[in-house]
Order: sequence, then C-alpha cells, then structure tokens
Amino acid sequence: MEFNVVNHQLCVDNIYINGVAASSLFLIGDVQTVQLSSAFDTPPESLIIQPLSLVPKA
Amino acid sequence: MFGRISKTKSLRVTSIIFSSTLQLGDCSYIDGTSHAIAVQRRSEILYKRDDQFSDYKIFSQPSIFPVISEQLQMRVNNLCPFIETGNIIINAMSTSSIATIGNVGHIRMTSRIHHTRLLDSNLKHATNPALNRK
Repeated sequence: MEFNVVNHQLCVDNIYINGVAASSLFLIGDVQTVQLSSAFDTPPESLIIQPLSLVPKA
Repeated sequence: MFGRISKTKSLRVTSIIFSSTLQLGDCSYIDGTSHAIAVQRRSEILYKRDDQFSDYKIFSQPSIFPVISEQLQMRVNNLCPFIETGNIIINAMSTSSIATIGNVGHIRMTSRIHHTRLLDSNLKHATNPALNRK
C-alpha cells in the first residue's frame, strides 16, 4: 500500500491534562507506528466480603 | 527520518511516578510495560498479603497486538516544518506512562491491572457496597 501524507500547519492552543496513567501515551509530534495493549481484570472472585477486624492480633 | 520540529511555549508537570517518562526530543523506539495488583480494602489495618503476579492469570497471558503485516510505503510531505503548541499542563503521570514532545519512530505500550476488593461483612450494608460508602 502506498500512503501519502501532506502535513500542513498544525497549531494547538493550551493543553490541560489531569492524569496520564497505566502505560498511556501523550504525544506531540510525528510517529510511524503505535501499538497499545491494556488488560484490566476484576473477576467475581476478586470481590471478597469477609470480616475485617480493626484490632491488631495479639 | 522526520522533518517537523515541535515548538512548545511552556510545559508544567506536577508529579511523575512509577517509571513514567517525560521526554523532550526525538526518539526511535518506546516500549513501556506496567503490571499492577490493586487491592482496595475497607479497613485501616493490613496484616499481610503475599500476592504474586504468578497467582493471577492476567499477567501470564500473552499481549494481543494488532499485527502490522502489510507492506506500507509511506511518503510524508511536510509543507509546514513546525508543530506549535501553547502551554501544556499535566497534573500527574503514573505507571509507565509517557509524555513526549518530539518525533518518535515506533511505540509499544502494555498495561495489566488486577483489581481486588476486600469488604467487611460485619458492616450493615455489606452485600451492597454502594450503600456502604462514607
């Protein structure tokens, strides 16, 4: 495949970001390839309801 | 490789933690990985927890990336050689995240998070945690 890119003017005003987290990417510039993979797991067995005592064991 | 120059008026980042990177300038390859076990526990005291990444399936499964199989011929014509931005404000960067100003060749980022919640069954609305929030 032939891919032709013509970059005219690119002007951005102010950018305000609260957070960039967990292998995220914030890029100003040019890039050839980007590959992102994310997995978040919270299965039913990860919700554990049990007595949680506040007093340290002797 | 690339022709464009990034021009930024100002850049302010309050905090960068856990292998995060703030990069200024060009770079040919970025490979970021983060693994995290997040434990949310409704108690002030934590006696002991010996969690290993090997205990959870999510960390051993192979990453699924879209395969770049196509032969690509890319031609870039930069009519304007600048990328201009004003003020950039980032509050926080965490867990292998990256902020880059400049040109990059290839980027690959991976994130794996396992989330566990430990709730107290002695509390009134233990079965419905949403009602139990302070």
